[in-house]
Amino acid sequence: MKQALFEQANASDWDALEKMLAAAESGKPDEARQQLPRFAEHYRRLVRQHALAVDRQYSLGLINRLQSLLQRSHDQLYRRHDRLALRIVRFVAFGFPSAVREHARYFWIATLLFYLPAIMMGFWSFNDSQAIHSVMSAEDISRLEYMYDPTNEQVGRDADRQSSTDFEMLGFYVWNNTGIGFRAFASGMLFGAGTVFITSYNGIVIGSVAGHLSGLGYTDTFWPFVSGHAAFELTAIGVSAGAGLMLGTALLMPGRRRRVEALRHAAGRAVPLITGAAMMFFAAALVEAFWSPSEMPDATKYTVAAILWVFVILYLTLSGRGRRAA
Amino acid sequence: MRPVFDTVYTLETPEGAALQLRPAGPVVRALAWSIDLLIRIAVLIVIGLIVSWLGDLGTGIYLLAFFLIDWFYNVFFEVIRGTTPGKRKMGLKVVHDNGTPIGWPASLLRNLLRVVDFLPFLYGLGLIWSLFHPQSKRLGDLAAGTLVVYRVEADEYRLPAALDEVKSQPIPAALDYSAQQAIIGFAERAPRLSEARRIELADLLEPLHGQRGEAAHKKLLAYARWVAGKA
Repeated sequence: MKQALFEQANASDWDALEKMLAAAESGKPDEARQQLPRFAEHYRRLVRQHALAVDRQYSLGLINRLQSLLQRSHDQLYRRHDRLALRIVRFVAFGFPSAVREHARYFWIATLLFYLPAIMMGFWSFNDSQAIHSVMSAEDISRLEYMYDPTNEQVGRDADRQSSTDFEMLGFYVWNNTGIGFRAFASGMLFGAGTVFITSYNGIVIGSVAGHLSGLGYTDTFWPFVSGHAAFELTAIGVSAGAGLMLGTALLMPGRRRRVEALRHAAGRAVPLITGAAMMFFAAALVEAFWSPSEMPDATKYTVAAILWVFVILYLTLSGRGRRAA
Repeated sequence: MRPVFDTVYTLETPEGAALQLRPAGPVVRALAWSIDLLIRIAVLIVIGLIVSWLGDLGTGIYLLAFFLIDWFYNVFFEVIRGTTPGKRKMGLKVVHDNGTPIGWPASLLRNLLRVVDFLPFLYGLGLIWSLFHPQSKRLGDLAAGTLVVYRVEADEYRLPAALDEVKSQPIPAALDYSAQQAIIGFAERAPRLSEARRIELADLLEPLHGQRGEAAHKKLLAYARWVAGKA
């Protein structure tokens, strides 16, 4: 069949498909849905027409036009149309805790990588007020001491941020803490070394700070302030670093897969972890910005902190149990 | 499909469609990234100006906006529109390895892993990796199973404007891919060749068009327009 005849015979098909695609791409779901039964039929015909055009060595211009229609149809056919809100609810309710339980091993290793250096540095700094100088500059230390000095009116904020509102601190905490979590995850691509470094380093710094301030006797300012968001924050660190360790492990010990395949497999399974960790970092930032600096009595703050710990533990251990991971 | 000496990556889908994807190289992707960077900076400046009179509340909003734009600008546009504004400008889109439109998990992954591709500075690792990868993947694409490809333009073959008044004529015989490419190549370069050279080349195809001299040249240009799908 000559190309001209072929074009003549099928032009109406292509025009019709073009119209459907334009409707679907412009985001008019009603119009697109109406034509759905006919779309599949047109798409199948197009697949055949494209194959014929290639096989018969028709002109490149025509083949290209059909290839363009083909890719646009393919895009529309395989675009996901599910409701995002529903997916988010499912993920929070079941998907995330199930994923954490499924990869609990990585979570615990990451948690140890954080807590071991933190506890060691904590004891050292508690007993030796000079120890903190090995991890922080003198300037940072004096700012830190100022933040939790019992005479400070706004505990937990340095001199520059005395007048800052809670909302400003929220922005700061989200940006800073979640960013660290994301970096700890992504640097797992460096055969896990980046994750190990970032996690342990943060453990060292946080442990030193806690030990140092307790050693100075600032316990009544420091611990009530940080206890509230610890449940979310420390768990989120473990989860995001655990996700990073999954990437590193896949690269170091790919098992029976090729390294690239092992990485892809592990990365796909790490996505729910890092998404959930981001969620927890955000929750921690909310608590740290609005609850931690509030004027509540210490007993109330400790009680709330305990409740949040229980909540996080129950959420991660029980929620979504008995369901297949989403 | 016949073997083609370029980066085209042919994917056969379950329904038998042969998708031809053209992976984009590091240079065009760097340009797209630069455009996106400029857009991001512009948006942040505008947000900064708007919230500046809100005081500390404004600083909080600005930091949140900075966080969201820094980490999720690409994710948002890739999933909602299939491509970011910068990539769109350069004619690129992001797809899964199997040619389907990119979804949330893969997009999140490839964009979070920019942290590693960026090392040691300005996408050093990403550049080196994509130079060695047959489909120009950076590490993030590798882990997420994604590809950055050129969007297929319906009007792919553009001929010099000088040929606009030539009327297209169908070629009387079926020509394979490389022969058709050669005819388009001839039409593209004809304006830059001397008349004698043009005619010399056009005469070579006398068995196809049965013409010699200037008529042969005219005939080939008419064929070229037909190959390119022009009227």
